Amino acid sequence: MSVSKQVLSQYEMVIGLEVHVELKTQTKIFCGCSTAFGAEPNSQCCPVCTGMPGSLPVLNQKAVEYAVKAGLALNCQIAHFSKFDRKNYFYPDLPKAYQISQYDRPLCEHGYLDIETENGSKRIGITRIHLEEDAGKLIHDRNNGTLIDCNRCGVPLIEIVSEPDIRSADEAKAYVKKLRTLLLYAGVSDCKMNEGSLRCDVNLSVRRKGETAFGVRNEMKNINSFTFIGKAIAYEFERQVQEIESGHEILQQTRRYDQQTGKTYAMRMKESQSDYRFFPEPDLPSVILTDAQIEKIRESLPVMPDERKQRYQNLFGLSSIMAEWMVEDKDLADYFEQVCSYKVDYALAANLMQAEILTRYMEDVKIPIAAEHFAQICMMLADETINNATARKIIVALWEQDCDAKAYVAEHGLTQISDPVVLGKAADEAIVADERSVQAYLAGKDAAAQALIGKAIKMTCGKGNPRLIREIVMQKLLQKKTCSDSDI
Amino acid sequence: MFDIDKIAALSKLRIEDAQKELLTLQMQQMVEFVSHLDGMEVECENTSMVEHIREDRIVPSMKREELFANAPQMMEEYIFVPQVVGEKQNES
Repeated sequence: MSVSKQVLSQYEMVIGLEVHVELKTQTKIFCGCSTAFGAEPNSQCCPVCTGMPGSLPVLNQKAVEYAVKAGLALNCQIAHFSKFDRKNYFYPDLPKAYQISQYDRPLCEHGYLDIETENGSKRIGITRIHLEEDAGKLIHDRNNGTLIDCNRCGVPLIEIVSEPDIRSADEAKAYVKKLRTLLLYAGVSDCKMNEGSLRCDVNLSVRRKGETAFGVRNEMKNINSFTFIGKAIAYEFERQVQEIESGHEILQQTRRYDQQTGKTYAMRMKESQSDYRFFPEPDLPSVILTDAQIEKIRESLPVMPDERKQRYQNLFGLSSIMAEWMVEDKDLADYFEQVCSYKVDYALAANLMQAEILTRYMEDVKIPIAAEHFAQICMMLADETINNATARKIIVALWEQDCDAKAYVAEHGLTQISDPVVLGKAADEAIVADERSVQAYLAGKDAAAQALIGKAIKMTCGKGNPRLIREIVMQKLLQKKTCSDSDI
Repeated sequence: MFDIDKIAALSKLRIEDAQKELLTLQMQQMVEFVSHLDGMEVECENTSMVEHIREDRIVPSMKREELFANAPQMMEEYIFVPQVVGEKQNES
């Protein structure tokens, strides 16, 4: 494709996202089959989820609770009355030949979430969230046929539909990221994109900047990573602009993003709503929720990330960026709060976490260092018992085998050396050993002092107080400078 | 009253021109028959959801052989169907 940057800049993209999220119930939405991921194919099925004649669905209470919880986490209005409908379609991933979904009375409506963009905070509207069942998994292209695994049939899903408020790939990624964070906080899904428990459909249209009417949109299905969301959007934007620039009409299509080629391909013309022949599901009663029930679910929500972020900024004095980073992962934020409960320097603890914990941290794996021990390291750093290099050493060691950090420092003789006599000796040794850097410094190259400071720290086996060593080395260099100046 | 072509298309049915008039009439008659219900006075109240909802507790699933007894063709642990036209990737 070749559309010049200049032409592209005359257009803007309009994006709405549909995100499907599997709820983390033990059982399926309408039957008692397990929802565990990775089981033997077709081992978690029953007459209900495989659509046997005469079977009847019974709604899973937990699925409703989780869907409401998601709605509340995304600032939605929760419907007191909602109902299920049949969405009929011909595709072998659902043996019933229809999906039980919600058509005109979804459980949640009119929500929003806020994302951080380079131009500040932006609110993205959420049109609706409805509850439905997932379809089975199809494996194509083997023996010229299609293989079906029905384990996923009937796993409870929520579909979260955004308003067409998104204007760039970065905003789309920020939206999905924030959505994921909020749902993880709410505890309604594990949101694993690689296991398909969070799947993203991108609706994209383009229009000339300044226009208010929407263009014809294309839907790209099931994009399963943040990277691919960005790439698919970039490709599709350029493709549509090129079509328009070449005088072609944009057709309303469902397109598939190919991860190998980075391109999108037409799958089918978009079905119209009447193709699905929606009608009220006669096998299920309506979902009626009282204010009391909704409030009870609201009370079960933890403190959400935006509120935490505010608190971290106001109470702990973290910067907006640091606070945003900290709340993104609930486990990390929880850990931070535990560390802070030990009366540490909050900003120091946050910085140390970002520098040393984040690089080692894996989602869903507990941080092996007890918060108390991490707090000890922060405190020893603050009162200069240890320096940054030692802090890192201790974290590396405790990550392998956790223990009392103070005891570890004592046992391994890691206490920082602050004795001016010892440090002065180290500085002298460094100056003698590196005459070249000294000369360079005296010749006006200030940066050469850094090499000498580093050397002096080395002379203390890394245990010297870097702040004091810097002071002493600089003092000695200054003396030399005055001496050599007076020589002239 | 009925767009018989549209209904046929939605149902993925092919119908002959000669059948259209009769089918349209029959559809009309069916809807008229059912619409008698509109005239009935029915008392109903919303059934309580609590009676029709279940706890999130696992019950044993079917044995795979039982499931397969109802499928036309199997391949290892999977149900096998003819290739879905035009779709070459795992769609889900």
